[in-house]
Amino acid sequence: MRRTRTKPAQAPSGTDAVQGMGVRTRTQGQLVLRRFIRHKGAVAGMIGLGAIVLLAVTSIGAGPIPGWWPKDFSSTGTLVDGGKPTLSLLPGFLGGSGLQIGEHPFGQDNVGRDYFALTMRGTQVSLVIAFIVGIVATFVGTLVGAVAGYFRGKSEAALMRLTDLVITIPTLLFAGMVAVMAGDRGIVVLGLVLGLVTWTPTARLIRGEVLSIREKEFVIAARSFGTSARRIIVKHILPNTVGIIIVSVTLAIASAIILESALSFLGLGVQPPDTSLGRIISDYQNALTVRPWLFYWPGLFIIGIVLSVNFIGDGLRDAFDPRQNRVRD
Amino acid sequence: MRRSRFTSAVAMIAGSALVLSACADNGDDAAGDDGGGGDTITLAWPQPFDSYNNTTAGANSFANGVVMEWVTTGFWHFAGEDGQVTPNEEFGTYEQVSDDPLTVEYTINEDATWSDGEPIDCDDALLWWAQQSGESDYSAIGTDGVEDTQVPDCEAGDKEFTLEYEQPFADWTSNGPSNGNAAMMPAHVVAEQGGLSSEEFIEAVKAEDWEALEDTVDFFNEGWLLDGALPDEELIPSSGPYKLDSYQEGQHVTLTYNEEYWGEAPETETIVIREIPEEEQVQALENQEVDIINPQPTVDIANQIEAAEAAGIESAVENQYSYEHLDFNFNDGPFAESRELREAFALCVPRQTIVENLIQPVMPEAETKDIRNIAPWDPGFDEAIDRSSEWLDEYGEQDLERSRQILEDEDAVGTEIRLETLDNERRNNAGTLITEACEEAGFEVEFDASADFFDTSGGLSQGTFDVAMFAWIGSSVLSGWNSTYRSPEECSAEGKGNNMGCYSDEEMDQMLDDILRQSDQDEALSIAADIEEKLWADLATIPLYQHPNIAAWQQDVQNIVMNPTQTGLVWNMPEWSRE
Amino acid sequence: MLAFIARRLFVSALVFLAATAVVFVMAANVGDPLAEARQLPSGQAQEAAIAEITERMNLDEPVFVRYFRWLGSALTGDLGVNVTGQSVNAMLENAVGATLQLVLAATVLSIVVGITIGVISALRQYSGLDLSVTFAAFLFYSLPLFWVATLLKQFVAIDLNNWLADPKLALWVIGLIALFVALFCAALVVGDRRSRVTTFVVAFVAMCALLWALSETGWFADPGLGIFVISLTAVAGAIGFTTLFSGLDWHSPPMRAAMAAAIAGIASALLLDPVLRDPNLATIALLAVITAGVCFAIGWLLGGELYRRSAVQSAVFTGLFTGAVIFTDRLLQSFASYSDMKGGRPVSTIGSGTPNFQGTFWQSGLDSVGHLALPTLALMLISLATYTRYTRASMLEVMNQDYVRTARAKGLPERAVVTRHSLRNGLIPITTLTAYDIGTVMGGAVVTETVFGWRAMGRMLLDGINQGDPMPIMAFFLVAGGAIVAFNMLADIAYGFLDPRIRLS
Repeated sequence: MRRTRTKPAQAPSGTDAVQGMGVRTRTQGQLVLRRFIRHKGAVAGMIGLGAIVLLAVTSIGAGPIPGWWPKDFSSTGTLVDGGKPTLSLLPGFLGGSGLQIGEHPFGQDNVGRDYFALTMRGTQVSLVIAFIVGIVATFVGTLVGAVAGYFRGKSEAALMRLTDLVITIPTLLFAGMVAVMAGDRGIVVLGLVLGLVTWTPTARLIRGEVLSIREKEFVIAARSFGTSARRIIVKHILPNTVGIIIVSVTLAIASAIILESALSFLGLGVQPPDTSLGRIISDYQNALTVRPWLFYWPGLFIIGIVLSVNFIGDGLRDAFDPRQNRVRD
Repeated sequence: MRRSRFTSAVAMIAGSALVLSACADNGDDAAGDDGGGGDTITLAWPQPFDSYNNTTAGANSFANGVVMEWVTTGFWHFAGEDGQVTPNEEFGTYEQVSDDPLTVEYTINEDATWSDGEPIDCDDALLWWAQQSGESDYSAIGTDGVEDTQVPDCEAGDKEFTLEYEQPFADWTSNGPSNGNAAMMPAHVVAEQGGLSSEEFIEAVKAEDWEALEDTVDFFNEGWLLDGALPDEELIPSSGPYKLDSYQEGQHVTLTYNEEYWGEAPETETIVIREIPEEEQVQALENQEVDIINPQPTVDIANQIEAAEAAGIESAVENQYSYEHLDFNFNDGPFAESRELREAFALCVPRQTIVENLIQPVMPEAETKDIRNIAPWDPGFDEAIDRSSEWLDEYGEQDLERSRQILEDEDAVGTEIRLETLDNERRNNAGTLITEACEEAGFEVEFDASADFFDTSGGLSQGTFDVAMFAWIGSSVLSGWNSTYRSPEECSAEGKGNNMGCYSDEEMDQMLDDILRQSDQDEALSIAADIEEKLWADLATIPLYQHPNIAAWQQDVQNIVMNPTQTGLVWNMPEWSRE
Repeated sequence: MLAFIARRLFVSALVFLAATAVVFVMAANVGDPLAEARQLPSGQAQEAAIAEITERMNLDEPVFVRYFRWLGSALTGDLGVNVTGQSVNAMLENAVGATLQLVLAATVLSIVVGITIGVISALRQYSGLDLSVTFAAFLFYSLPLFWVATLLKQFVAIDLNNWLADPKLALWVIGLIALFVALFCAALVVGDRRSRVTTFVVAFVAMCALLWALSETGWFADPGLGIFVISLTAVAGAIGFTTLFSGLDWHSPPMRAAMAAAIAGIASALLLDPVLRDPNLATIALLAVITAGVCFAIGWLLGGELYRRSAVQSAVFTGLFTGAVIFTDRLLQSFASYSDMKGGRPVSTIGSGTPNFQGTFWQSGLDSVGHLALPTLALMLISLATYTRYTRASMLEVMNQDYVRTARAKGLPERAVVTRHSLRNGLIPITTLTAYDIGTVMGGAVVTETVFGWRAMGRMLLDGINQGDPMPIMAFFLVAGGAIVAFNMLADIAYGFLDPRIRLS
C-alpha cells in the first residue's frame, strides 16, 4: 500500500502509459474495464444483479410480454399444504425432498397467491423505481454540481445553499411527503419524485470534482480560446467526471432501493394493488416465526440487489480511481 | 343507543365499526414492575386511551371502554362467558315497580361515594338522565329508551330515583346507568366546572333549564379529553374498584385500587394498559412485557400465539356474536332491481375459501355462516337451517359456472360493481378473494377498502357501495336485529338506521312485527326461521363467517374469561389475579 | 475563528429558515385535513365540522400567511395544535426524549465503533480482518432496517432472554467466540507468523477458559467485575493510554501519571461506595468533572516540564476510563436485581421504558439500556458500515500522503505517525460525514420506532403525513432538521479547528 499510486490521466483523450510495469498502451476505457473485471466483488455483483434482473423480468414477464412462470402475481387460489413453499434444495439422502421447484417454490400468501410471482413482481417494481431514482438523482445532481462548480460566485452560492436546504430536510420526511403527494400515480411517478429529493450527495461530489478540474490547464486553455461555458462543461469537464457520475448512479440506486422499501414498509410508498418488496415484508412481518418464508424471501431479494449494486459501485470506484487500490499490474 | 344497543344486539354501525376496526379486546400486562410483581397485570391495547368521559359519542371507543369499565361503574354490565346483562349489585339495585306505565326504581348503594368522598346520588342521576335522554346538549352515544322517560324526581342527597317510561320498553334491564360507556358521571365536578352549586345544578336539570347549564355542557363534552396528560386528579374521581393513577401519552395508562371503593377490593392492585400495535403484541407477550393480549386474529397472529404456547402462554379462541356478511345496495346500482344479478353474485362469492384461508387458520373448526341472526350455539339454529336448506343447497356453495351462465343470460357480463369495506388485513384478503372469483364469473369488481368506511361520512352510511362487507354485533336477543331488515322510511344516512342496503319488503316487515309481539320462545324461533328463509329467498344479504376472537395470556395470570360482547375480556377485570 | 463561527451560524440559520418554509408548504399540501369532514352528509353538521377545522388550522388563509403565523408562534415556543386540536407541544414533549436518546446513542456508538474498526482495518489493509470488515460493512449497508429490526427483536430479545434463564454456554459456542476473538487479536499483532500464531493460541485458550468459567459460575445472570478486575482493567488502561500518547516506557513520567490516576480511581471506587449505591445523574457528572480535574493535576505535577502534555493526556484518559469501568461495574452489579424486577427478561421488545418503573439509578439505567439496546443496535448497523468504510478510505488516502512518508522517513515511531499525523488528518472528512449521517439516522429512527412499537416522534410524523396535518410534521422537522443543521455547523466548526486552511480562508 505504500507504493506509488497513479491517477488516471486528466486529459480527455489521455492515455496512461505509466501504469505500473505496463508496457502496452491502453486507453483509459480499457484500463477501467480491466480494473473492474479484476475486482472480484464487482464481478460477483454484476452476476448477482444480472441474475436477479433476468429472473424478475423473464419469470412473470413485463407488461404484455408473458414470462415462463405459469402463475400470476395477482391471482388467488386454494392453499396447498398451508401455503408452505415447495422449493427444496436439499437432496433426498440428506433428509430433504430432493432438488425440486414444485408448484409454489416460495409458498403462498393468505389468499393463495403464488409468493414467487408476488416476490418477482415486488422485485420488478423495486428495481424500476430504483433505476429511475438513480438516473433522476444523478442527472439533477450532476447539473447542479457542475454548474455550481464551474461558475463559482453567486450561482455557486445559490445552488449550494439550495443543496444545503435539501440536506437540512431529513430524506425520509421529504421523500415521505412527496411520495404521498404523488399519490397512487404509479411507480414511475414515485421514482421521479424520489429522485428529486435524493440528488444532494451527487451534487456535492460533482461540484468538488468540477472545482478541481476547472483549474486544470486544458480547461484554462479552452476558456482562453473563448469556448462557451456550456461547451466547456459538456465537452471538457463532464467527460472527466464520468467515473464519479457512474459511481454515484450505483450508490443512488442502492440507497433508492432501501429508501423505497422503507417508505413502502411505512405505508407511504407503493400503494396496493401494486406491490413492492418493502410492502410485502410489511404485510407479513408477523409471519417471521410461523411462516418464515413470507418474511425472508423478499428480504433476501432486497439484500441481494443492494449488495450486488454496492459491490458494483465499489468496483467501479476502484476502477475509475485506483488510488486506494493495490496496484500490481 | 347507549349500552343497551350491544345487549339488545341492535346492530349498531358505530358498534360494529369499533368491533371491526379494533377487534382486539383486552390486553394484559407485563411481568414485573416492582419486584417480581404479583400485584400488577399489564394488558396490551393497540389504540390510545383519550378521555375520562367515554359516555360521549366522540369518545365511545374500545380503548376508552377497556380503561373505564371498572373506573366508572353502574347498575349492570355484560358479564360471563355468554355476555348476559347482569346486575352489578355492589353499585346498587333496580327493579320494575309498575307495568303500566313501565316504572323502574333504582337504588344506589348507601355507601357508594366518588373516590373524592362525594356521595353518588341524585345529582349524578340527573346528569345521567339529562345526557341520555337527549334533551340537553350533553353529548350521548344514543338516547333509545331514556328519551321516553320523565326527569327523575329526586332531591339532593337522595340515593333513589325512578325512570318512568311513556311506552313499554322491552330492554329496560339494560337501559339504566351501567359500567363504562353508559355510566353516571360525577355531577359535582361538572357543576363546579360550569360555575354552579350542586343545588343550582339539580334545580336547572329538573327545570330543564338548559341555558343555565351551557358551561357545564362545555366541560362535560370537552373538559375530560386528555391532552398529553390526565386531567387534574380532582376532576376524575372513580366510582368503581379502580381509579386512574398515571398516564403517559402513547405509552400506558395505569389503574390502581380505589381505596375509597365500598365494595369488594379487586384481586390485583394495579392494572397497566400499554399502548402496543397489534403486530408487536405477541412478541411482547412472549417476552413477558405484557400479561394479556387480545389482538384481531389474523392468520399469522393466531399461528404466533399457538407457537408461543410452548413457552408458557395460554390462549383461547372463541366465537363472538359478531359476524361478517355482504349487504347489497337495494336503493341504487345493478343489484337494486335484479334478483338474478344478486344470485350470480351469491354464486361467485367464495364463502368456503374465505373461511378456509382466513378463519380456519385461527379457528380450525370454523364453518361458513349460513344463518344470519341466530348464532350456532343459540337455540333455534337447527330449525332455521332446516327451513333454509333449499336455498342453502342453491346458494350455499360457490358455482362459477352457474354464476357466469346467469350473467350471460341476463346479458350482464362486465357489469361494474363496487365492493366496499373497512381497510384491514382480513377484509383486504377477503375482498381480494371475492374480487378475483367474481371477475372470473364475469363481473367487473372495483374493490375499495377505506379507513373511514364506518364513519357517518363513509361509504356504508352514504350508500356509495353496490356490495358492502362488514359485521353486525349480534346477541341472543331476538329483538336485537329487528330494525336491520325493516323497510326504512327514507334511504339516507339518517333515515335508514341499521338497514344499510335499504332492503324493503312488506311481508318481512310483518314478520318483524310478529316476532316483537311474540312472547312464546318456540313460536318466536319459528318466526325467526321464516325470516331467515325469506332473507335467503330474496338474497337480501350473504352471511360469510362468525368472527373469531383470540386472547392469550401468561400462565400465571388467572381468571381470564372471554366474553362474546363488546365489553370483551375486561368484563371481570377485578377478578384477574396472578398466582 | 469567531468571525468564521458567526458567519456559519448566520448562514445555517437562514438555510434552516428557508427549509421550514419549504417543509411547511409541502406539509400543508400533503393531504386534505378536511377530507373527512367534507364527506359528512351536507348540512349543518358538515358545515360545523368544516368550520371548526378551518378555524383551528386557518385553512381559509393562503398557505404563506399560515406559514408566518406558525413561524410567529413557533418563535415564541408555541407549536400549535394538530387537526383534532391537541397541543403539539404536549405531543412533542412526550415524544422527543425517547427519540433523541435513540438517535444520539446510535450515532455516538457508530462513530466510536465505526472509526475504531475503520482505522484498524486501514492499518491492516488486505489482512483477513480487513477483508471481513469490508464484507461485513457491505452487508450491513445492504440490509433493510425494518427487516433487521424485526429479526433482532425475535432472535436477540426473546431468545437471549430465554437463554438468560439458564445462562450456560455450550462448548461449541465458547469455541466459536474464542476463535473469533483470537483471530481478531492475531490480526492486530504486527510481526512475523510465529508471533501471530502465538497470539492466536494464547488468546484462544485464555478466551475459552474465561468463557467457560463465566458460564459455569452463572456470571451472565449475575454479572459484575469486582475490584480485582476493575484494578486490572484500570492498570491496563493506564498502560494502553500511555503507550498511545507517549510510547511504552515504564519509567516515563506519563506512565507514572497514568498509574497514579488509575490507583486514585480504584481507591475512590472503594471509598465512594456509599455515594455510588444510588446516585443521580448530576452526581455522576460531578464525579466525572472531579476525576478529570484531579487527573489533570496529577499529570501536571508528575509530568514535569518536558512531558507535561502527554502526562496530562494519559492521566486524564486513564482516570476517565477507570471511571467508566467503575460505572460499568455498578451497572452490571445491578443487573441481577433488575432482571429479577423484569421477571427474568431484561431485554425488551416494546417501547422506550417500563411503565411506572421505579428503581435505583442503576436499575433505571439498565431499564433504559434494556429498551434501547435493540433499536440502537439496529439503527447502528447501518451507520456503522458507513463510518467504517469512510474511515478506512480516508485513512488509506492520508497514509499515502507525502507528510506521512516524511514523518516515517525522519524516524518517528509508527505509533506517533499514526496518532499524530494520519489519524488527525484522516478524521477530518469524517466530521462532514457525521453531519450527513444524522439525517439518515433520524429517518432510520422513524422506521425503528415503528418496528419496536414506540410512540415517539416517528409516530407523530407518520400520523401527520397520513392526516395532512402540518403542525406535527413541522414539530418533527424542527427537531430533526434542527439536529441536522446543528451537526452540520458543528462539523464545519470542527473542520475549521482541524484544518487551518478552512478557517483562514
